[in-house]
Amino acid sequence: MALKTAQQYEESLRKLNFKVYLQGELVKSPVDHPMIRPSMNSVKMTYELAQDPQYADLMTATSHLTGKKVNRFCHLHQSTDDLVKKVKMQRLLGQKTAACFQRCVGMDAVNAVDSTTFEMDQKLGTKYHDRFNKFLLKMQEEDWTVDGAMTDPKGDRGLSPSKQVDPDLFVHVVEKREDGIVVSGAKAHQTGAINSHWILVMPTISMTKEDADYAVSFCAPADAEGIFYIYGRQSCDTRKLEGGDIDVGNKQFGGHEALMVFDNVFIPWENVFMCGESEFSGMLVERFAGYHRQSYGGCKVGVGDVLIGAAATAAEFNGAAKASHVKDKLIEMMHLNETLYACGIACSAEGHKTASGNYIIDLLLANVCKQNVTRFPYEIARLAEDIAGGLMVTMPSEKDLRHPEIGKVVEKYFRGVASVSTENRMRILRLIENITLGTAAVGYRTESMHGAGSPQAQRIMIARQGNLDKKKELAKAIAGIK
Amino acid sequence: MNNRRISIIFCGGCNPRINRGQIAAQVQNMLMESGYQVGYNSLDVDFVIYISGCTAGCALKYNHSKLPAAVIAASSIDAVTIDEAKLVTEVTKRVRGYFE
Ligand SMILES: Cc1cc2nc3c(=O)[nH]c(=O)nc-3n(C[C@H](O)[C@H](O)[C@H](O)COP(=O)(O)OP(=O)(O)OC[C@H]3O[C@@H](n4cnc5c(N)ncnc54)[C@H](O)[C@@H]3O)c2cc1C
Repeated sequence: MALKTAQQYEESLRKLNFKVYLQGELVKSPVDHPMIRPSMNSVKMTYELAQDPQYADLMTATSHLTGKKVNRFCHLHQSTDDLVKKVKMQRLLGQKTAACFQRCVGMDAVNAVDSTTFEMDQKLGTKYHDRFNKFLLKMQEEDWTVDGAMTDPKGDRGLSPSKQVDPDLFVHVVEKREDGIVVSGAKAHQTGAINSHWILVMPTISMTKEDADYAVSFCAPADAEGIFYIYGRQSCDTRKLEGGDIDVGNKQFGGHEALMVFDNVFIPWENVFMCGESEFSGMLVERFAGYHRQSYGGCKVGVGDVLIGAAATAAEFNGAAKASHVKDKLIEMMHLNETLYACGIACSAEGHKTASGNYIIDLLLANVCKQNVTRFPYEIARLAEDIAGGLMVTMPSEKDLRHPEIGKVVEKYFRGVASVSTENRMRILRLIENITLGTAAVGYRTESMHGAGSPQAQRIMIARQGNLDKKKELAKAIAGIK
Repeated sequence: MNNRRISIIFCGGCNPRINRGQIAAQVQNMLMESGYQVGYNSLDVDFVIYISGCTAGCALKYNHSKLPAAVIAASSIDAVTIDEAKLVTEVTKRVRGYFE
């Protein structure tokens, strides 16, 4: 089965034995939980669109391992065209879900682990790349969603992993056995963890020899013995428990993050891709982060498309669409959004082949892309709030609208232009609220800031890759300085 | 003279991370001392050395051929990162390794 249908994906999740805590309770069936299900629907869309001939060119690719058609999320990029198509696919999915569709992290992880294990084997004579290929093959055949697990809780940011008071603040090897390793610790902020079949763990920072136990990469079934999850809260999340469909803003789709805890989890050697080779941890982190910084030039742009469309619609419903400043603000929003996209495409077009054969983005441009992502969605959101008006945060609830008596009052006083119903005006304003400060703001705002690394992480890379000496040479040549 | 013809093909040089001209000149000298004929920007040869200033690798991207080749792109040869100071000796080693 190289491609699962959306329904098969949902059914496959039901078979997993997840241990998930949400609001202090163990969840019986994550797929059916009203707070989790919208996030599952977003991942499901990555399966649904892959079956649709209209989207097949972006959503699928040809496996370099088997020559078979696979979901692009399971693919290793074989050209710069593949890198470009990845960004376009992410924009498409952002447009279809207006949320984080979660599956990119795993795609970025497999692409980073592939080239790193290859180069590690070449230099150190290890045997990780073959193992990794076996995992990749299975991932492609089973069309798995894989969680890319990099970020550790990290405790005191000023201390290295081995210097932390509690060793579990970074995932680490607690025991090496003949048949495998035992790991403990946790990964924080895990996007889509509970919608994933497998997880692919990577170290979170560049390590030194003394942190060798923490330089560990492996894969594991998402419901493996000893792994459990604590589901992350999102702003306005309990609106999903209220049963209506206006106040949630986006009833069908969402995203999620969770704390993933490893309580002495056994990992057989065939699933281990790094174990103590600290000198390669930096390469793995840099490559994963590079791919993931490219990703945001696609997904956030797609969500931005929806937000800009919502702001323009709200302006129409408010009767302000013809105002020149409103038109100009929409132009500014589109300019910012397309600038993000331009960087996503540029770092892909300027990508190159790695020693293992897969393609990687241009690191400088990917970091510029992500640095813009830490800023522009905030400005786009600010402009959307400006255009929407204060009602997006002061409006009464759907229950008030539906109320036999006060419903009439809500209808009367919250109407904009006469040709549009109050309900539709409320719907569009709630969508703006959802993306700018509701559940989807987790993905559109704070993930834009910190996901794939906080802004300073990109600035360090830009400093390293920016070619400043060459720029000085150019200036000196023009100025006649010898 | 061993009659082997080598071509060095450059990218356009918009934002180079390495000194392409200097590397090419040193490679040319070393290979000519061993009797190779070395020219520039031609595909009518026995072996190509692509030299791109950055990892985008435009020298190869826009001058693809089926000829045997070594690809320098920033501080890497054939996609493996290498110290810039070692690029010249490494690439000439590849040429010799191919023919000798
Ligand atoms: C919505 C969302 C989804 C995410 N999804 C995933 C995922 O799927 N998989 C995954 O692995 N990770 C994921 N992440 C994690 C993300 O990569 C981290 O949030 C990011 O690396 C920042 O780490 P942090 O949140 O611990 O912040 P911190 O590291 O605490 O950073 C906070 C601030 O402190 C600064 N700082 C931190 N350490 C230092 C230091 N040593 N010196 C100087 N300044 C410092 C930072 O620059 C920043 O300004 C996600 C994050 C978010 C918000």
